[in-house]
Amino acid sequence: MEVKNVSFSYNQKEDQLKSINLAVEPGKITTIIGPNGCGKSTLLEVMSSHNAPQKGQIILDGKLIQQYKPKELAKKLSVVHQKNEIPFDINVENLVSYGRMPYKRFFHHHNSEEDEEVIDWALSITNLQSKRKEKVEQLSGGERQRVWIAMALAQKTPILFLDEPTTYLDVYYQFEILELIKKLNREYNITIVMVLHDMNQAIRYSDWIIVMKNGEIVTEGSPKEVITEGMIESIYGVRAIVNHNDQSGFYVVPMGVARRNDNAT
Amino acid sequence: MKKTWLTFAVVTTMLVVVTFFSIVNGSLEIGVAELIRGLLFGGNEDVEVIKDMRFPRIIVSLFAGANLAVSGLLLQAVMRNPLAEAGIIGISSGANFVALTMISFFPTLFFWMPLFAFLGGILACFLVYSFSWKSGLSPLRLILVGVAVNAVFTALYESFNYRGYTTTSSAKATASTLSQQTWDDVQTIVIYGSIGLILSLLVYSWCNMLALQDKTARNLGLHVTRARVIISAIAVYLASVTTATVGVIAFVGLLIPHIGRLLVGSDYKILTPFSILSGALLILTADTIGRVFLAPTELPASIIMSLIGGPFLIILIRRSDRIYGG
Repeated sequence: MEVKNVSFSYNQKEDQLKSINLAVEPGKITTIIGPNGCGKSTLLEVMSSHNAPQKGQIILDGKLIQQYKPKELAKKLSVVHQKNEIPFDINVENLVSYGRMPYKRFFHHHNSEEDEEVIDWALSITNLQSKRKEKVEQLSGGERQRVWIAMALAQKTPILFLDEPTTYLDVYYQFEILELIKKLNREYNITIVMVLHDMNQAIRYSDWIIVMKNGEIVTEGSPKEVITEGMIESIYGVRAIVNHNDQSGFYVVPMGVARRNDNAT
Repeated sequence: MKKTWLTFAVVTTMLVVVTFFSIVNGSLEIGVAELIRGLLFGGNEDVEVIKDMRFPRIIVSLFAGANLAVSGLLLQAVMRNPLAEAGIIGISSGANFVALTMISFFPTLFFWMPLFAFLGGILACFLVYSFSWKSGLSPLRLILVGVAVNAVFTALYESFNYRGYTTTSSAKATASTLSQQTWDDVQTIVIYGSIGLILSLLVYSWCNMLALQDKTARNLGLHVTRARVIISAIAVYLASVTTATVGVIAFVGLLIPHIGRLLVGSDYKILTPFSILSGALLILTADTIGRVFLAPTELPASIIMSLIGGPFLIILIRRSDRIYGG
């Protein structure tokens, strides 16, 4: 997947994305980080065809993303959003089965054998088999997030986008979700593009990190190359120590505000 | 699932019972045996009167209820708003105003009344959407705009009526009573109504996906804008056809879907047929109460509906936390 010179604006006045160029490497975990309002989520929305860019191209498998029919695109790319609305009485199994919609024709709504198999697969990877008849609304935050991931998995796409998948979760569920994402990548070879806030998590779980600020990509590279004390100070306005030890590997300790970050919104 | 089947069985039974009750009761009372004999072999004058007067009224009531209930249900799905209903957001009054205005000016086009009503409904729906859309639908803004559009169309209709362009047809629609229905009305509402109801049963998976969130629905391969336009069109069509036949009846489209969600859940595959049955039941019951129990005077079904609707809405709001998350 390639993003070429993409600019996007919600209001035609100010560009939320300014000439973005990037390539998503297949089979890798790419993480986008940056301060609030830097355009991370907007970039994901434009890349998943929710919003059409005013300028530039997004190419998926040699074809412009706008040229895909919605169902075709839904077989190539699935997205887990940060916030989701849940019908009050839907159960896990039914919600996950929505992931099969791209494979169904208009009048064929019942699940085929293949659909059932895929749903089972998605539920067992996300460890939800025992919860399949439970109401989604009554699950914990972490379980709910896994349900949305399972729904995306049921789409059987080679690419999975996740917008801040660990926000709103406690630390246990955060790592549970990240381990799941890593497993999806390593064992099932799903290309992952996600937005994260926590730099240590980004270091641990990414092959490639893209740093954004004010709608632009500031730098990108492997975690080691990108996460430096200088970068953290200039992007976030936070003094930090970047260190390494044998047990934890590479890590960041934020120390405090370096200066007022006037650009943060 | 068991509860769902039970609910359907109860509603269907009640529908049959009320229909029979409604046929044999009223200013003209008749025994069931007598009725069946009269229907089969003819020659009974009472049965002939019932056939001409009461049957059309009952059939129109059934369809009016089903149409309005489903119309409300679909509008709530596309507008993502529990309060969306043709009578509240101005679609019925838009349909009413345009249809009656056209008929007043061109009485020869009476046959096209449902079409004019549809155009009026579409106009109102378009106004509500375009004025309330601001990079997404805010539930509050939508309802406020809808109430405003409704007020304007109602006022237009009333001022028009006030100046004395009244025709017999508009007099009927103002009262929005179900009496004086003829077999011609039956034909209109049954043919047009059935088309709309069948269409509504086909779009349930779109409605289900729209309940998630636009972004999520789009990720699942739904053409969100197209689905929204088509579902809205079906809803407006159903409301307009009904308004053209029986005038404005509020609250059915609000009550029935909400009762449905409480009883059978949020899946449109089940909710739509439930709304058809119970909408029909509700209007027929309201009309029958107004006709039978207050005889010899009659109270229009719309008034009985509002009498039931007002208190019910209050109860609903008190209970809505469970369903709409506050």
